Formats: sequence, C-alpha cells, structure tokens
Amino acid sequence: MSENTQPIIRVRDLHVGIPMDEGLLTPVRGVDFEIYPGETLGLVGESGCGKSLTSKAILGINDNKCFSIGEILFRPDVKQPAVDILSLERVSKWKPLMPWTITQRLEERVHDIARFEAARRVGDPIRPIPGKKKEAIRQLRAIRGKQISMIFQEPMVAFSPMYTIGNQINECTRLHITRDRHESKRITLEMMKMVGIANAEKRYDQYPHEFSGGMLQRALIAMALVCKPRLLIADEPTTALDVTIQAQILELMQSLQKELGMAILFITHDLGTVAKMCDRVAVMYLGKIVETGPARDIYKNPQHPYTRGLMGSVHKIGTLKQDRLFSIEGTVPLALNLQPGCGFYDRCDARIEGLCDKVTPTLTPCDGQHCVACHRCQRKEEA
Amino acid sequence: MRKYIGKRLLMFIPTIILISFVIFFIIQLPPGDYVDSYVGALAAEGEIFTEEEILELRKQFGLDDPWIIQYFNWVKDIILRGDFGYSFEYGRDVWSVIMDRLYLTLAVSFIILIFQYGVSLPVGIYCANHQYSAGDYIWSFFGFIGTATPNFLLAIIIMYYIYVTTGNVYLGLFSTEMLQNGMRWEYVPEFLGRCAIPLIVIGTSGTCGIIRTVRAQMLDEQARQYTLTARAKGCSEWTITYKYCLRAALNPVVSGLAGSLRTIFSGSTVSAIVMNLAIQGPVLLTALKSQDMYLAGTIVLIQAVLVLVGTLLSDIALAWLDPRIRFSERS
Repeated sequence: MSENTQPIIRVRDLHVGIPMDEGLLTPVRGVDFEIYPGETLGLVGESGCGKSLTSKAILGINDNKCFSIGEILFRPDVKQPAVDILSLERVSKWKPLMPWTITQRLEERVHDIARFEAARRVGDPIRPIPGKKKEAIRQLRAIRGKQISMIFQEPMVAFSPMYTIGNQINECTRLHITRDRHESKRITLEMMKMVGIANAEKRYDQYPHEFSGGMLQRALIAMALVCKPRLLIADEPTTALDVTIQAQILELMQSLQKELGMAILFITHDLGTVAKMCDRVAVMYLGKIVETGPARDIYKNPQHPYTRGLMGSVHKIGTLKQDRLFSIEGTVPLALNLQPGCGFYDRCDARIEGLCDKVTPTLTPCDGQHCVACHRCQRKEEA
Repeated sequence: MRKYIGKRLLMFIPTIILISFVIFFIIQLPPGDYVDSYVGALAAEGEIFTEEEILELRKQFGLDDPWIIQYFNWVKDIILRGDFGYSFEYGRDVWSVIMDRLYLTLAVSFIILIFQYGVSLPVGIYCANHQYSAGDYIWSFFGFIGTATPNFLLAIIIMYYIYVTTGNVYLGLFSTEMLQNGMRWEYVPEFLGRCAIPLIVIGTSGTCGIIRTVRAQMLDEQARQYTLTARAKGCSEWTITYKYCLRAALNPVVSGLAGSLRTIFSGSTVSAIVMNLAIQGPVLLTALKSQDMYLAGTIVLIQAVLVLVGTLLSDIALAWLDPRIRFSERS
C-alpha cells in the first residue's frame, strides 16, 4: 500500500466565487478532499450545492466569470512533483483587466466575508511572466484528457453534432497519444469496443444523432478513457439514462477501473449508485463538505442532520405504502453574500440557537476517518 | 445527394413557368402600355398622334393582342429562339441591354460580396471571443449605426464630404477622361478609389448585419456543452472556436447567401442611382416606370431564377455543413 500513501489529487480549501451585480455568489466555500490511486470518492449533494463547479475546477474549465482560490495539487506520479492546477488556470486565463472590473468589485463586496479576503489577490492584474501564459496553457492541456478526464452528465449534448463520434474520440487520441492516423484510429476503435460499442468500425463514422443515449454515454466514456487517465471525474454519468442502462454503465465503469487502475471522483445525488460505486463518500451542502468518511460508516451511522435526512429520503424496497418518504423541509438557500454560521441552520431540526447561526462548524473527526461538520455532533462527542 | 439535386432541378421548371406567368400578369396590370407613355411623352413636346397612328404603333409593337397572347408569344420566343423580346425604350434586344451592364454589375457586386464576408466573419468571431471588451463595443457601435443608416443617405453624406474636402464629386466608376480615352494603366488607382465609395456605401449594411449574426451565433455555440467537452479533452481554444463553434455558427450565414445571388445581379438600386453607377438596378426601375414590359419582365425573371439557384446552392452548402440536415433529407 506504499503507493496509496500519496494522494493523486489533493484539494485544499477550494473556493469558487462568481461576482454578480447583487453581490458575491459563492457556490463553493472551502472544500477539502483527497483521492488516492485506485479508489472511488463519491461526492454527494443536492442540485446546486457546488458539486459540478468543484469538479470543473479540478480540470480548470470553469467559466471565465468564475474565479477559484485555494489549491488543487495534482500528482500524476509518485516521482513527479505535484502541480497546482488552480494557479496554472489563473495564469492561463490572464487578461489585461479594465480597472473597473473584477478587482474593484471584489474590494467592494468581499470585505465582510473573511475567506474571500484572499480573492482580491486573484483579481489583481499581475502580469504573468512573458511566455508563462503559453506554458501554463500547454501544461493544462497536457493534463486535461490525458491525466484527468471527465464524463459529463448529458451525453446527448456533450458531443458536437457536426462531427462523427469517431472523429471526436480520435481527436483525444491524436492530441495525447500519437499523431499517426492509423495507429490512433486503432487505439480509438479498441477503446470503443472495450466500452461495449458493438460494430465499432461502423459506429466510428456515425454522427451523434444516430446514437441512442446509452450508446452516447458509452462513447463519452470511451473518449474519457482512451488516454488511460489517472483520475476520472464522473459528473452524474447516469442521471440522463434509464435504469437498466444505468446499471450497465456503472458496471462498465467499475470493470474499467479495475483494468486501468485509475481513481474516480464520482459525483451524484443518487445515494443508491454511491453505495454501489464508492469507497469513500463526501457529503456536500451549500458549497461545503459537511460529512466525509468510508462509505460503509456513512451509510450505517450518518452523523450530520443533513446526511441523515438524505438517507431517510431514499426509497427502500419493502417499506409500506403508507410510510411517507422523509423529506428535508425548506430549500437550499442561495449562496449569495453568505454570513458566518452553519449553512444548514434554517432547515436543521437539531440546531442550537446562538451557536449554529453564529459560528461556522469545522470538519472534525468523530470516528476514525469519519469526519463531520456539526456543532450538535461535536457536543455529543464531548459529553 | 445527386438524386436530391436532380429532383430539385426538375422542380425548377414548373416553378419558373409559374413565376414568369405571375411576373407578366403583374407588369401589364397598370392601365396603359408603352405606347401610351410614349405618345404622352411626345404630346408633351407638341407632337400629336392621331388614333390611327396610335393603333398602328400598337400593332407594330405587338401590343394590340390580349395580354395572355402576348405572354405566350414572349415565352415561345424565349424557349424556341432564346429571344427575350424587344426593349421599346432602348430600341433593341432586351438581352443586349442587359449584357451592356452585366460585367460591371457582376464585378461591383462580387467585390461587395467578398468585402462583406471578408470583413464580417473575422469581426463577428472577434466580437464573440472578446465579448464586452472595448473592441466588441466599438464594433457593435459601428454595427448598429451601419444597419440603421439607409445606404443612399450614407452615399450622400460620403459624397458631400468628398466634395467638400477634394472639390471633386467622383460620381460613377469612370471619370470623363477614362470614358474618352478608354482604360489605361494610369487610371487604375483612380478607378479603385472610385470603387471604394460604392463598396463602403453598399457593403456596410450587409456587413453590419452579418457581424451581428455571427457574433450572436458564436456566443450561442460557445455556451454549448460540447465546447466544455472539447476543452476537457485538451483541445486548444483555436480548435474549439474554428472546428466546433464556427461550423455550427455558419448556418444562418449560409442561408443568407441564397438572396445574395439576386443582389449581385440587380441590387442596391437607390444607391446606384444616387452614385450614378452603371449597374443593373436602375435599368429595372426605369423600365418599370416607362412600362417597357419585356425588359422589366426579363430582369425580374432572371432575378427569380437566381433566387431559385441561390436557394439550391445554400441548401447544398447547409447539407455539407450540418450532417443532421444531410440525414433528414436522405430519409
């Protein structure tokens, strides 16, 4: 297990902010996690809790209006030094700023949110050293698709309708493996067969609209895996598919993971697939990880009131018809101009007045690797 | 595809017959005919015709038959002898009148077309790639001004400005010396300078329109999920812009090409009159005014054919661009 001691990716204190006219939107507010080679980490949460932005930040492909701070250290190999993807992205997107844009906006609006103090530095128009920008873009592009690749949630729109599936998968092969046409086509076809696309030679020359949803998802997986990445980010890969196809795709991903030995960051709001796929789970709420630990612990012994609510809202076979499904009251608040305090305060049934709405709880271990960010749980521990 | 094009070409025949009929019907619709306007014009100069002379003139021009017979005679001559009729106004063949101005018209229009797309495509792409930048705002400002200003007004403003600064009006494409001495090498710079004015005047509104279209389309495409996929794959921004977005964004631009064939043949009439350009547009206008029906009919008929051909060409181009169109046609 000596290899496993070094995480392949380490995300430290990741914040993603979007300056808007109404204030600062902070969909991701300090996320920490690491993924070790060969393991699967499930990132669970409701829609809009910042899962997708977190995953896109890892590839550095967030929108230009988003800005990210923190650290994403990627170490493809034990022998190689880790690279900070976020700083690469920052340099690669550098633009001469107009004086009235980002910097000023942040200065006006960020000061009351302590964590975003640092954001002013990001907005500072510090000119990258000449040539550094090109180098950063080159490094990022070498990581994207080759070392870290991503499966998107809607396969129907993830391919351009203008080019054949083969062309689009092969583009990845040609960018990262070989420029030789015959060789790259051979590799591409091999991967298409591996993900279970029957009649791959014929399918290679077909367009996305001639594929079914499940086949497109397989093609997307083939595109993500054709360069045998070290880390695969699967952003709700089965949400758009029907249930039988879902199971097939998940099994396919698991068998390919064994074969290629890659790590997976599995993003979903479906707890059933998490149980099937993941070694460890991180539960996200309003841009923060509220509970993390081995999947078994979280399922058997959920600590955070939000996680308990999530578990209660899953339909299990054998429950009686009159047993209503549990649902969490209220809605996720908008992450706009947030004040200190627990993000789940308004919806929590175990809140402590005067503490939970004033102090932001931090992630603290409660049982081995199992960590939780909740004042109530910590009191219980202390008692 | 070949079968599809063949089918479309066959469909041309009934369409053109129908169009020619409608054209002829509408052109003869106003009361009176060429003889009336001819006699009227001469009467204003004091020359009075008798009833018999007028009847004789009608017979001579073939205008005494009912219009349906005239129509059949016209079509018969076109099909059998390639004869498009006789222009009363010019006193010779319609075809020779059209040929007079054809080359110059084509030259001017092609230059304008190339100018339009050559300027608007790169500028549109630039504006989309640098949305809300200073450059985008400047081009958008010119874009709106250019679309909103009528061409002839722009022509008058430019000509006034040129007259005030240089003292010469630069009307038309050729100076008097050029017409007297024929084309010589030393006239080339002046000719090009004279070309620039109509180029700017006629070209701007189209150019500005296409800039807006390309910009909006590119922004639409850049927001699509597949650009994210391509970026996650490690593609360069250049590939994303030109391989993925631009090809999808070209759709409305290519559909717009259908009408431009007609414009090449006889567009920008008002501007041409203002700038005294010897191109086809003004000929059609005067022919319609003096009820020179065969000339007017022929020009409109050619326009109609060009619209049909343009539509076919742009459909073929669209199918070539977008595989989804290609396949829906096949099924």
